[in-house]
Amino acid sequence: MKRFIKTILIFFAAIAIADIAFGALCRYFSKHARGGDTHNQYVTTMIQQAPVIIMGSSRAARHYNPAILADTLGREVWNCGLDGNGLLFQYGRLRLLLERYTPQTIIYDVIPAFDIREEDNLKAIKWLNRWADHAVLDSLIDDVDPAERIKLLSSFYRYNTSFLHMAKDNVGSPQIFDHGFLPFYDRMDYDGKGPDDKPSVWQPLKREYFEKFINLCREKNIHLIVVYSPWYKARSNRSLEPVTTLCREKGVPVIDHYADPDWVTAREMFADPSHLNDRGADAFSSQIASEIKKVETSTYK
Amino acid sequence: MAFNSFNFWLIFPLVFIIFWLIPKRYVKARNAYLILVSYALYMNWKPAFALVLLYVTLVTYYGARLVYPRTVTRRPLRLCVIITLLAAGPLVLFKYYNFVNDNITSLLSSAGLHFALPGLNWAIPVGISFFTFQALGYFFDVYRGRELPEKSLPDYMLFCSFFPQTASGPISTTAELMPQLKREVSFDYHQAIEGLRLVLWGLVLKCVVADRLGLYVDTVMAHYEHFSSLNCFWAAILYTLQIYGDFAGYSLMAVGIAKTLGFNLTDNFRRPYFADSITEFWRRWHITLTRWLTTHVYIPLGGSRCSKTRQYANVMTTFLVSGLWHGANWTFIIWGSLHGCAQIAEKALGLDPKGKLSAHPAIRKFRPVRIIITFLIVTFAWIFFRMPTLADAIAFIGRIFSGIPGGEFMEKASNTDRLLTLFAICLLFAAEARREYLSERLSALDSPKARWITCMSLFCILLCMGVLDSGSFIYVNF
Repeated sequence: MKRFIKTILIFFAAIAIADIAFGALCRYFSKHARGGDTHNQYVTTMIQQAPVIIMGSSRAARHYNPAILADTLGREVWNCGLDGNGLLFQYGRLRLLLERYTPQTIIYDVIPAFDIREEDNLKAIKWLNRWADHAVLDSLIDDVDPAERIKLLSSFYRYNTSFLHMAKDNVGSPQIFDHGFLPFYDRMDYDGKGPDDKPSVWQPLKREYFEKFINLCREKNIHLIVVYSPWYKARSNRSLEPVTTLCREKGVPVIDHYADPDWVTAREMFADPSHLNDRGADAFSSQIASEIKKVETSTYK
Repeated sequence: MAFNSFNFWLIFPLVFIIFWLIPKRYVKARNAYLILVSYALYMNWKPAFALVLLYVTLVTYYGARLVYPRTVTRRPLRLCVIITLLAAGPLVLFKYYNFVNDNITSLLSSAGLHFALPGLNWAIPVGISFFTFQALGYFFDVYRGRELPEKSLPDYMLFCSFFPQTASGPISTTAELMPQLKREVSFDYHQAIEGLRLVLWGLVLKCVVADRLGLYVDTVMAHYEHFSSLNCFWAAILYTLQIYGDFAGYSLMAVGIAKTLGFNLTDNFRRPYFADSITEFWRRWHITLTRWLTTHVYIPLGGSRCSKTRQYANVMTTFLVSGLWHGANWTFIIWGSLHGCAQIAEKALGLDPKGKLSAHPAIRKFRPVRIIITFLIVTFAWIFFRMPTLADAIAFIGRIFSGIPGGEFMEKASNTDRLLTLFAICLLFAAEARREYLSERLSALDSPKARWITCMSLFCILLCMGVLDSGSFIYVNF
């Protein structure tokens, strides 16, 4: 048995050394990326200090052109949307941003799948793993899974699968985001389906963190505006009802274009049923900018 | 509790240490401890499920004592049937009630009779098909006089609930496992290390191969109408590899964990995708289920010692049972039938391993081609296994053969996903091909230094490339 324990200890000691080296390499990749998601997420979370930020999933990332919004709002705008991520991730991101500066306005684009409904929350906060050393994330990580903090001790786990992406963003010519914005250039050349119209039910943790997000904004005097951007062939905003109710209770303004008749049939504006293309994003940004300005003035003055 | 969950690996070292701290002469204490651990881990899925496990254990334990033939000529057949029905009752109720109910209801309604029994909205106890078959295997062995009825209830409880195998097998026979539960076992360094190596490779198969490929398979198969023919075909191939990685991964972990505790379970897989016929495939795939079905279904029906027609009927019946064992859905029945038909065709053409043609030098020369054809037939059948309904399976196959062009390779997947998928396939192929063809020639790779390097590399690959979300095992649902 002694020999067995000794073998196991040597094995894990060797793995620990490899883990430390791997972690150092990944941190280097993260800081020195030339472009792509790695560079964009690093700059978005650790460097930029725009007074107006856009948050949400890929719909946020692809629907809001910061340059157009900045023209109308008269302030710098940064798009912090991230593909496949929602409220839990963005709450963590906000806590990280607040370590450096306090934004004046947050425009939050809601999507039922990532902001309301049941999903694997570990996946939802995976992008935060690389900043897990920041104590402001502790309670979020604990609430998602108490065992996660132990797993995050390993750099292999922390940078699981993303290291390839990070390495790629350090060589060649990765995509360059403009203030966090990278539109889709595709045109929907087929007649896509509309979204799932079923009413959404809160995942308890998401409801809790949506409230925390609103309270944090209020505490820091941040103007929070919730937006439902257009979805091709959406018939109603029933699936967003839980957020609408919560925002009404908390006095958070909501701008709703989810099933806006002017948008839901404009196929030429979409890259796929859930995402506007570059043309759609520019048109939507122009329209929403003045609405945001009006709502912000009326609600937060 | 799943073997790929982090919580299991937090608990297991404790289970392992306490087990080996109990002196070897206290076999009963060790077994009692393992029963406790097994039930506790099983109850982690859902506590009430343990009652089903206990029920099946008690029915087969006491049933076996009742049906054991006192004389060679008198076997209480009626009693055997009653006890079999009682033991299989939960399996039938949980797994097949809704299926039978739905089919009878739709049959009656098509005849104009509107009558429906309420459906059961209950979760199926994890591994119910596995532990029921293991318990029934023991019961039939006793009934046929091949085994004596077990005297010790605790030993038999452990036989039915032994935690490495409860959720997804391997399905052990009485002769294999029961004697191991009664002997004094000392800690064996080499066996424990071998066990951990199997666990590591099992985890790699599950997390690096199966779950990685599963990401793309799920994307395509859920929305196949948006994908080109080539990508649908590619998804079908990936599913073939995914289900192998998933199930073989689980089985290796089960065998490995048992080894660390001093037990030897039967291997469930022997590189099945290198089989050159469907008959051969079933000698390499889910070996313990094939053995169970051969012993308790195929041979009692007459096996191959009867007319050709009867033998073909026996093969088909066995595969229909195999299909139904996997799930209560027409898709599984079609899947089983396809394998049955393929085996019958092989036997009729003399292409099965014992057939006249298979030994022919000209046929043997074409073994690589036969391996590919077998792989494609198996892949085709897996489509029925994977899709939720028969209509979806047919539509998916239609999509593959419709020749719909367009779309890049693995469309809607990122370059990183493509790279990781190809890496997973290469890793699987290299490991399998090495064992199939090169194990003797590459004995240098079995040196201690090479083993250390291999294990460390695999562990690092697991942590940095694996899908570590504790995704459930496909076969746990059976």
